[in-house]
Amino acid sequence: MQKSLFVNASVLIVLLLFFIQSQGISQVSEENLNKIEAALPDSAYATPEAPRQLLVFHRVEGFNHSSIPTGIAALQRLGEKTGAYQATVSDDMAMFNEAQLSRFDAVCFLNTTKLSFQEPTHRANLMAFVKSGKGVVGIHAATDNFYNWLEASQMIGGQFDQHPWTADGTWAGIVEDYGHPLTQMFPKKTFDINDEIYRIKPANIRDNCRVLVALDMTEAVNLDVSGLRFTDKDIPISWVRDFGKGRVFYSSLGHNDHIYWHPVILRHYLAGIQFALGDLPAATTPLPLQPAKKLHIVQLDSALHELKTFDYGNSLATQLLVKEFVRYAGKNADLQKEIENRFIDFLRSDATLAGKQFICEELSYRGSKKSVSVLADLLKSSDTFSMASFALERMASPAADKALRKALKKATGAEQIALANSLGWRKDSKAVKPLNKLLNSSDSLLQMSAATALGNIAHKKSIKPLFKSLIASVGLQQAAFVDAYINCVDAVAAAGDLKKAHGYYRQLKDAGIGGQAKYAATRGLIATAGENVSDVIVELFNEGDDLEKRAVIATIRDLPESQSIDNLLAQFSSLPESAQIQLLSALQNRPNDTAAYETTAAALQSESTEIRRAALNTLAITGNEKTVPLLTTFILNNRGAVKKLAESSLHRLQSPQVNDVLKTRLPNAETAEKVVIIQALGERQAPDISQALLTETSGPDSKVRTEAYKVLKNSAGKDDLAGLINNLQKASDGKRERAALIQAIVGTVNRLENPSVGNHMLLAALPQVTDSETRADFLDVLGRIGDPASLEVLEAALAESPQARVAAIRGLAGWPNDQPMMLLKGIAETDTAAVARALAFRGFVRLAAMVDLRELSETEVLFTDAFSIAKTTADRQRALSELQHLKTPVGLDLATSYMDDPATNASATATALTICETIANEIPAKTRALMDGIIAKDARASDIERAKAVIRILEKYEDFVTQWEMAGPYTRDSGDLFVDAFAPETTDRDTVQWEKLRPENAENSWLVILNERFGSSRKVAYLRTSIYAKAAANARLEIGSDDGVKIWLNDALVHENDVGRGVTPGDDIVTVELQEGWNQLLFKVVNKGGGWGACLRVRDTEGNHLPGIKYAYSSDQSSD
Amino acid sequence: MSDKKKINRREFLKRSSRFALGAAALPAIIPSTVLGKDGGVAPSERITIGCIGVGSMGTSNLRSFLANDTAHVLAVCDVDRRHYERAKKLTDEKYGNSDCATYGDYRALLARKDIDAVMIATPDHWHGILATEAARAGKDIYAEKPLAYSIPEGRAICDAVERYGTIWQTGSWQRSQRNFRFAAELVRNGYIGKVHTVRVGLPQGNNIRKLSTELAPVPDGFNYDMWLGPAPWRPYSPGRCHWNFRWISDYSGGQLTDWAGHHVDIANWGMDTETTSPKTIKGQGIFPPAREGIFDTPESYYFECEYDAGFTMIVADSEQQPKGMGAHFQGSEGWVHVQRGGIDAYPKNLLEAKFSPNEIHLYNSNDHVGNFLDCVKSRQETITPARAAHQAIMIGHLGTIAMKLGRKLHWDGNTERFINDPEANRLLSRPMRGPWRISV
Repeated sequence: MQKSLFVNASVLIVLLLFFIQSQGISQVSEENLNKIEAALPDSAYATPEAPRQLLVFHRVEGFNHSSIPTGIAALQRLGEKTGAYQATVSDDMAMFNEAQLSRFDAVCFLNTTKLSFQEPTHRANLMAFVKSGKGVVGIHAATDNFYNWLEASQMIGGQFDQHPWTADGTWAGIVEDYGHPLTQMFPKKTFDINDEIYRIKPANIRDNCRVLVALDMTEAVNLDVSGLRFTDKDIPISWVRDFGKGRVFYSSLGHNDHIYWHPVILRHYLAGIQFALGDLPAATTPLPLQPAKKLHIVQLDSALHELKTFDYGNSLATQLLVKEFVRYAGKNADLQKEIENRFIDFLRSDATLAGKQFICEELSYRGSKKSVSVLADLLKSSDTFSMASFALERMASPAADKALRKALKKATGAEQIALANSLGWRKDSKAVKPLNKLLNSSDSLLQMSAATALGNIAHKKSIKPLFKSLIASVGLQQAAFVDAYINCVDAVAAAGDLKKAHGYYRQLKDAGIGGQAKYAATRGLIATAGENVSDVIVELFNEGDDLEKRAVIATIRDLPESQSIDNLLAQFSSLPESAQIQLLSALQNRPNDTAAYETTAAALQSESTEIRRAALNTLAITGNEKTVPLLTTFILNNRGAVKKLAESSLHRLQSPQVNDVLKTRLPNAETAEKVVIIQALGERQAPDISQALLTETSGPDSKVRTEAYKVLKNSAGKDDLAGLINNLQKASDGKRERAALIQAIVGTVNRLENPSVGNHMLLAALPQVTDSETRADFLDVLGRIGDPASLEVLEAALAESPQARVAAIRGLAGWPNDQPMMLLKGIAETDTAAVARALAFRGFVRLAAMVDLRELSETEVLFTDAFSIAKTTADRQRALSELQHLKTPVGLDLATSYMDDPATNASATATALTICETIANEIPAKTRALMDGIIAKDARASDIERAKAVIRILEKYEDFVTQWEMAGPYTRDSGDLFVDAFAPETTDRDTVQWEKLRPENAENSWLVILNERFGSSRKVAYLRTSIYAKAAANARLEIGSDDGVKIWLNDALVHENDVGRGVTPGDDIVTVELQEGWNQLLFKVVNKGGGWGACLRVRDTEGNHLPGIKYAYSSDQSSD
Repeated sequence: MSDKKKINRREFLKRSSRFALGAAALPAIIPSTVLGKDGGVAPSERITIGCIGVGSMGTSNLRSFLANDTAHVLAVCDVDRRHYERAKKLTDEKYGNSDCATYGDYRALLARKDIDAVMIATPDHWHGILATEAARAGKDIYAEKPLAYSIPEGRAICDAVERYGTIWQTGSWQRSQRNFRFAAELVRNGYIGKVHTVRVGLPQGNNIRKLSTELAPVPDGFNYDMWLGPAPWRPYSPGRCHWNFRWISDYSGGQLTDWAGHHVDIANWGMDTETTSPKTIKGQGIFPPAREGIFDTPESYYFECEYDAGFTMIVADSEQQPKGMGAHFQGSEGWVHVQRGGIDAYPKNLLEAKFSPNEIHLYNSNDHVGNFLDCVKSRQETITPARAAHQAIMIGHLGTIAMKLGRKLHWDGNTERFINDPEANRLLSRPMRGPWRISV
């Protein structure tokens, strides 16, 4: 039976395919079919090894290329005539089911757009298909897909990133890989082609793909386009790549119909397809682009010539050119040399200072010894000093040191400091002597600067003079000397002389200096203590003040664990509180130190909460199975936040034996400890505990049993189920325990591989249950599990007794899906017993709120019904609370209609807010009024906050004009579309036909999108609207446009901006005067290619809502 | 230019960084107020604050400090009089007095002994000088990201903070948000298998405020020369300074370095590379066309960083990232993508994951300024210490240099120098204009 079903499905698909195929061709004119026929090659490039099947897939989820039918016809005939393959045409995602896909040798994505491949199996199948050794062909928009599927976009080679080379242009192409089997049909290396060419991102195609054909970016025609980027150096058109064992061929040609009867391109496609099918072998090793070859030094000369007159604030274009040139010159030594010579000449020329400054910055990282002398000359003039010292500081040559030292002798003021700085960065040891001298200068700024430079050089000969300076100074100046001193001492230590360094640190510590010097000295003393570190630590700690103690602890954190700190720990309890806390935290890094562990454990007894807290934090990291009793006892003897922290420490213990220790302790523990242990086992997700826990469920204490059930809910298995059900059969008084047991059973059954098995065990046990309360619990469990087999049992129970009826309703109300929803509704409508009715109603609205199970409109009907059958305030409150899941305008109306009744106001308001938080932009006016109402009504503070938040969401897109009328599009072959006036802005305007634009959806209603309708080429559209102001006022227009914009208000031009950009609200802001009553606004949007759209809103001059503003379609308003 | 000696000194003191940051070893710091000490804070126990740089970001930080009762703002400092006057007004209004002191020179503020901590929110090119001088003056520091204008200046900050025991918090506040922490924990605990690629999406373009870039006289009350500080001299124009400094390479690295402190930081947090550098960097950038005048930071950028651990971090503007803005971790068994708008994952049920106690729990803070103030009291490390900020912005700087040179660079994370590439090494630091200098 299964088999015949499958056959039927395939027949259906084949029929469907036939339909699509015939439909495809029927859209292509006879004339064009003839052109294709005439252009077809006679034979294939390779004889297929086997009959080949090609899937031509043309599904469109974004832009629809009108050339698709032509492409289909061409690809079908190409295969038929040459015998290379047989094409199957489809746009059905079902083709990517495994059974379908496996029939093919390759898939061709023909102008597919925005394919999302939502079904994970389709993704997996396509990937497996290619990687297993099959082929993929991409034509034109095949790179405009897979936006959320990186692997596929990598497979195809990249992703669409605009097309500055538009469909109406003719572009210069180059066959980069001339001689490759896939380019053999090109008669010569260059060619012209009229088609739309994509830019592809990410731009590292050449790492993975072998580029065959590209745009020739040395040709002016390719550079003179709108939307060109500076980085457009490499625009590949066709490429091949390996992907797993598979093969990919892509060509961005194929936008225009005529491509499909272009004899060369058709052959290029054929070779590519045969390559993908596996019949035509071809190299796929990526080849790099070599732009340096295209550089000529003359280009640099002309840029430098221009740069000679550069001044600050001028365009940076020339500088960018120079930088680009330098970058592409790369490591080409000859070219580098020539560049440097030119830079040197430039610096000696009469170029502007700004120009020279730029050249100095370029030379700074690439200049050689050769540049030093010109830079040294520039140091002599105050105009050029900074730029020259900047460059010299970065120079590699020792000649630069010499030049800087020489200048230092004569310099004064800021220049002298800059030179000291540079020598410091360069670590010029020959500068130590002159800089040491400067420490004695009378200028304190110079002294500090010399010190900083000496610290950066870090030579031992500076230690003495720096020490002399530091004891003679105070404040920030002293801090600078200290810092330099430490730099020098650290260098001594790093060179291996710890003893000497230790002595220098001792000297610093004993110098009686306050502040951070003490901290740093302490740290240095420990770092250089060598063998004696333990004694040094104790000594420093005992003698030190707070800051020094802090330094000691900070170093303990970094000390290797092998280094004992027992001496310090021995006096732990006599340390001040803050030191104990810091020390405990430092002990986290000593997990194997016994003394450290014992100190931490003992700290649990401290009277200070903070110390206990620190000890707990450390134990969580350094503790092990032996820590269990310690923490357990602590938990039992403490309360509040510290107890919680102790629990978390117990739960975090890392040792693998912790769970065993817990399990071993469980049977003999006291009641309170049992609870702690069970909780810990559960939180730690310990394995194999359900038997032990089940044993505990027959113990004497309800608290223990309850806790055990809570953990069993997540850990019990099939074998434990009988025991749990057995427990359910026994009566019990503990309500919480009972609830936990019920949840444990439901959780366990639902976790089974086949929950029906568990459900069956319950059904089998049910007949023996006679006690009515126990029976009610059984029904509750059955309902929550919601196995179809239980439904009739519950329905039968409805009729048994009033008690059983209530229990059954409770069970149905807990159902995990909406199966018993209408049954509950019926009971809610008709039952005479209030309890039964109320319970049923609750259940009904709970299940109705499962909005994902059905169409939203159906849920709307359900809730409308619910309110009509609600009998009590409690019913209505319950329904309102569930209503928050229905986030639609109807749901909102229902909620707001209960806001006036004081009994339901609170829940209705809460629900209305929840709904508005999602759908505010869908119904802005209504939402706004509602939110204003809530704020004005003095509602609960939290509701008012929420209402304000909704208004903020709303205001983001508030006041945008949505009532637009459009005229156009207009275009003209030559001339400037921005400047040229078309009918709406001329005296011919009365003849213009205006069309009302209706927003497609609420989310985008603020935005007019034109390219989806009219394409992306150079065109102009006009928009108009009427704006009502209740009084004359200054207002501002917040404009977004893609691209150029002109705006007239009441026939006066108020704004123009000839730009290329995307739509961003408020890109342009213009203040205008609105007259009282209706104002007429005309908006010209000029498209320069790519996206095309506009948005506008009118606000007050501060950018806030302008009261009384409204918009209308101009044609409606004028007929008012 | 030999700098061997210097590196040795660093190696000698670098031992502390062998401890990884933020893994299981760092539990939540519970503020003392939660643990039973009485709620209010006596004025004498408040942490006294001085704010340096009170433009847009600085004012926003100032408000956070004013809103926290543990802090007391004593002084504000800015090179623009309008800024510090506005900040003083805010502060005085909050405290109901007129006590807030104002300074035009940060050195006067640092010299005050009664100030415990400073907030630094100046343009990037000032961070290194201010932070190192504040550290040696004994101040704890809350400083804006990016950590520093260059890698050596960032290293200087890390060293100073360690040398003087400074509590340091970087303004990478995303760490104090649940979603970012949760994403990093999913990755660290292996929920998406072995991660092979991390994609970091940052904003595209230069967000230039429309102010004149024509040369103009310096306005009264604005100390332009000090604003320029260590940067090369250029003539003043209004469009150069406040806000727009970000788009000029003399002061900052554009969106890339502005945002590296956010999403790259989160990527490092998740990948446990807060103390590890990449070994190679390569990529390309798009620099603004002529019309942009003085603005020269990349409008678009894309670069790849390879790590020894066997994964690649791809940093790019959002237009060149399949998932746009945020940090996107791709593992052998799924992915996690986190950004300010929310968190997404595949398989979807990862979002429901609950970590057992003995899995890795990252440092938990829900209040970035509050975390800083807690740590000033407890002397514990904050959620974003200087060395983590250093690694985050390092990626931005490495990418910038790779784009400038247009070739693959090899990086030694221990010495913080490029391998066999003198040209790249020369670009690491930027010479300072006198009399400004920094101790490194």
